[in-house]
Amino acid sequence: MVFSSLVFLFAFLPLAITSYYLFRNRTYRNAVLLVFSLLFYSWGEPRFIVLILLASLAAYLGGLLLDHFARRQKPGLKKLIFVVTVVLLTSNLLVFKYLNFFSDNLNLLFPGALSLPRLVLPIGISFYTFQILSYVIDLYRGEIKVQKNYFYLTLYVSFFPQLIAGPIVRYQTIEDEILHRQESFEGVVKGVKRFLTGLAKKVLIANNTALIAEIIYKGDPAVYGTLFYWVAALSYALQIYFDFSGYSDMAIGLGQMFGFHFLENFNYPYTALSVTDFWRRWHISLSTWFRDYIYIPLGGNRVKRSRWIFNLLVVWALTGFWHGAQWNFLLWGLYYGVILLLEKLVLDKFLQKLPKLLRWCYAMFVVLIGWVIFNLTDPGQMGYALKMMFSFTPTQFPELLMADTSLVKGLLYLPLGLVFSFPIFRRLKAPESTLGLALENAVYLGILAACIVFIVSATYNPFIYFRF
Amino acid sequence: MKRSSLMVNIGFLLVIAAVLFGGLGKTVFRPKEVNLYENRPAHQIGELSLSAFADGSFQASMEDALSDQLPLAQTMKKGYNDWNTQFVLSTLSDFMKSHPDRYIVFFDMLTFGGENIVYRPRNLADVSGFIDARVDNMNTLMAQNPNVEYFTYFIEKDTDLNFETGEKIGAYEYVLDRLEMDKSHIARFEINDFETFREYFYRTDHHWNYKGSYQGYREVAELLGVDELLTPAEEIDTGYILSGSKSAAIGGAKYFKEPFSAYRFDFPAMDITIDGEPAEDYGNQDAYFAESPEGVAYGLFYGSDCAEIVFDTHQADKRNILILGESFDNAILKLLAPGFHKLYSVDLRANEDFVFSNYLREHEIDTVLFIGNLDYFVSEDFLMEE
Repeated sequence: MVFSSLVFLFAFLPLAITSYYLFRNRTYRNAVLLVFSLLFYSWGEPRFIVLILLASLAAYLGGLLLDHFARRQKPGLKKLIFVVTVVLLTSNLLVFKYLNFFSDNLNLLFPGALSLPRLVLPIGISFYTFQILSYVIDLYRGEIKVQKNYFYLTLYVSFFPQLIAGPIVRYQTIEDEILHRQESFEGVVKGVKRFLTGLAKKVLIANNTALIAEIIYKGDPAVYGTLFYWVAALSYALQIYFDFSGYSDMAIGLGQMFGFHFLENFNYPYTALSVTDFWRRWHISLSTWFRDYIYIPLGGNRVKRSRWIFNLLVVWALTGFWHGAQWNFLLWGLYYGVILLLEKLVLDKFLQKLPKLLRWCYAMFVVLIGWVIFNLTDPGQMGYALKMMFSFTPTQFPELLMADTSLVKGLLYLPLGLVFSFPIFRRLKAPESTLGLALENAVYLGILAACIVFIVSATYNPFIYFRF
Repeated sequence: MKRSSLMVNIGFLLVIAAVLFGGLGKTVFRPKEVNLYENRPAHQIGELSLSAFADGSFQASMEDALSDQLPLAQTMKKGYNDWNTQFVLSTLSDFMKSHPDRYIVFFDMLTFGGENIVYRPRNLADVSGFIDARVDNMNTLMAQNPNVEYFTYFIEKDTDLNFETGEKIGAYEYVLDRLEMDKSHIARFEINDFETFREYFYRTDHHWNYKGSYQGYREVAELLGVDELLTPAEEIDTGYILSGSKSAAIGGAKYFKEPFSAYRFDFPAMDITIDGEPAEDYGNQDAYFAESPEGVAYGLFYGSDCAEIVFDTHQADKRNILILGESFDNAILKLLAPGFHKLYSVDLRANEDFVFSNYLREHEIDTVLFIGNLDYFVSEDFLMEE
């Protein structure tokens, strides 16, 4: 189940909110959230519900033991439990997400070396594993208190707003809110509006700008020239931003509806003036996770330069690899690692002297190329696309339009995507008058209506033989 | 918060709740049976069971059901499709007309000739395996029932020819080569260029038009050795506008349309039975010439796909024929019937109980005609029990 599906909008969400607010008791409300979260997960992956419960159990038992040995001042045993728990949880992710990748590559080098069944990737495993790890690591560091209630820990791990697409919520963010959050009517209204904003980003903009990249990258390569390979890169950049930030908005809005306050995950990344700036604005929960749990423990930048470079490249390799078990993701991570290094070592000094527009152009140029590497998992196709972006090949416009007339529909949404990439509404204040509020609400109702029309229409599936 | 603002926000949430719960309630408690716009039964929520939940079929049924049952769902789809088609056409209509000799991808289909919606020509390599299975099945059944005369009529259409290059995919020749029957008993409705296709097929529907079906009838009659042919009494523009299956497939029914013409025939008297029940007529041709039924479609006019249709002309001196076809032959069944004592038409997609050998024996069939387009020779739906 995804947030932009009809089942979620018309069944799951209204029933979840209604069931939640039927109770006043905190325990019952948390129970409702847990039941609905597990239902949400099992809706898409019935067989993997056991995995998430086991992962949560491992963290729960590990956490109890960590707390036990910490209070008895047995640092050796505490460390052992910590290592075992982290290895257990990480192994879960490694097996399901990366084992096939390793075996495929081993078999390329040594044919027939390893024969393994194809493993299906459980939905959200990357996100919930990192969430559970943050609980275990913060507990080990003494930054949070142990959660002695398995169900509350499982609620944290499986909470449906952020389960399948983030943001990666650290336990310390919501530790207090599990038992002491304050729901409010205003919070519900704000949450609904934030959710609708995210839904519009996903359904109205992301899904439609996606058309262009799909058409160009799947079509006959000979048709599209340099200009349209840049247009494809741009369209994918908009697609992934509005898709991902839309989901984050929906997750944050859903959290608000139930009194939780998640941290922001995106901050208008396409306004960045450097790649360093971009990564402070893009998938913030992931980059801060890697900073706090990998980069800093490795020594961060408080080590000699060679070691610092190593740390940075390791973190960015892992960041890339986290996104997918394919070589292009690793390359993408290292691409950014190298550029960030260059910025810190050399480029920053020069960038600071440039006008903002040029700095923005530089940042977007790097980011667009990065998205081509991220999007195209086939090395041949990636190489071709990158070559075309710099080859100054003219586009055959008649051929381009014949190849798929839907391109014009996608191009219609491109300007919308470009405009809404910028914080044009940030300066708008909340309406102070009732009329202003009514107008704002009417706009959101219009957004909901438009989203429903688009979602329903995407299911159009006529039967051509019945009656014909 | 001010009281008035509170009321506005309460109203806001109530409207959303009403929309969402209303949609869910309609889907669960008052589902409709037919999705008229999409021409099929409307999806409904499936039965909930552990196995249905475990394999995801219940979840899929719920999503499908909501997409069909929400209030105004069909209106939304129609409006969206119409807008989509209008936008692309208004932007590119001149471009499409100025390149009549090129395929232009239009949503999931192609256009050619500026205004015809066409299927992409198939790749023989992609379908040859399926054709092999189908032809093997036919050969086996023919060998098991040797005392019957067999004929095959292959109807070529846009899937058999690349209109841009003029290259044919060779499916007919592939079938001809593999069928173990008298080669003089095999013929085809031949399409060698776009002009012929345009003359004999609808622009917006996958079937042959009235000229194509009549030409097909003449060729089939010749193949079967039927001497006396029915000739059209008149050619009529019915006044109806057809927006066929292809335009429906791309949601372009509002914009891809064509006038619907037909030949009127003076059919001789015959008894007709459809799926075991006596029927006044097969198809609604007379109704369309005389009255004003709502809307037109190929199946509505000529007759739809039925498990079994029997035409009895009471001419005991003539042969009994079994026609195993699909929707294309619906337009020529009544034309062929006068050439036989009894004409049995079976559409295997609708007839699950059909056993070939038993049927031949029970109905004293002398002649069997296999008739259809490429899909007929590819689809597993037409495989018979051996």
